[in-house]
Amino acid sequence: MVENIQIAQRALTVPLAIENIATLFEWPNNEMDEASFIAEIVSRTGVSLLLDVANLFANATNHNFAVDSYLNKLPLDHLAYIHVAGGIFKGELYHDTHCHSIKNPVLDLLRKACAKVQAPKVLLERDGLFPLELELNKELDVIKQLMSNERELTYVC
Amino acid sequence: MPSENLVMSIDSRARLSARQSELMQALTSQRTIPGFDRDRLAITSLTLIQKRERTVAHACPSIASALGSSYSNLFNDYANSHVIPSGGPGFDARQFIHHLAERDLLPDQLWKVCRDGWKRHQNWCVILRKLIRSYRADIRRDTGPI
Repeated sequence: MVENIQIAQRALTVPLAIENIATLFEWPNNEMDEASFIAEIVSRTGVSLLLDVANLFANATNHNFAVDSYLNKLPLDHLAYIHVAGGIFKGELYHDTHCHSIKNPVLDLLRKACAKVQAPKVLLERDGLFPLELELNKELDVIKQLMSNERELTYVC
Repeated sequence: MPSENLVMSIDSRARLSARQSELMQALTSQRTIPGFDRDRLAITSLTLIQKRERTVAHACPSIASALGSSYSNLFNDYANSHVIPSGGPGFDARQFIHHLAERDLLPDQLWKVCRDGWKRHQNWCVILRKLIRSYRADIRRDTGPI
């Protein structure tokens, strides 16, 4: 992974960022937890970090780990961008669908990340089942307020 | 500094690559794979097929509308036996249509769509041939015979 990132960094004329992904299953006998893995890659390559708070919520839910400890391990000084998205629960599993409204715990993670580090740009990912513009604008407003630490958690969505 | 045991040997890299390939095969054909959570793999596999189904319907809406309520089941059968072709959802849609046609499952409405598409393709070929001919004629006028 480190070698591949270094190859990409040498080939690119723009900075590269890596993103934490959402998974429904874990690799058996992992040597490291996800946050340590990402931190190690960043320390070896200097690559920037794209934090997807929806993916983080999905993995914390599906693989049962604490988000605070995860966020503490991440090198947030390398944070370049944040992704936010909606999803749904199917049984006990959370699916990061990009086709549903943002869940409150995801917004809570955005608030926590923005409280730890100067908020960079945030992207709302939405791939389908688009709601009315009004509903989408409400989500964007909440994101903006959380980015500027203007809002405690009283969500509309 | 990174610890030495985190440096990946060529053997480990090859093993990981083989394992990743095995995982991809399992996910695209709904098979199990030793060591991985069987239920979670099955759910992931199904989720990937559903996503593929949506992208094909988006790329070629006439398929989903022509097949109606049987679209999901037919696509599921197809996706279990065909990996995603390179080139994007349009190519996946085309492969799905071939799969249906081979099994005589293509509705008349879709035959018409395919035929119209083929006619459009032929028309474009005719236009292209005319353009090339006219371009060559221009060159001949300017430079004499090629």
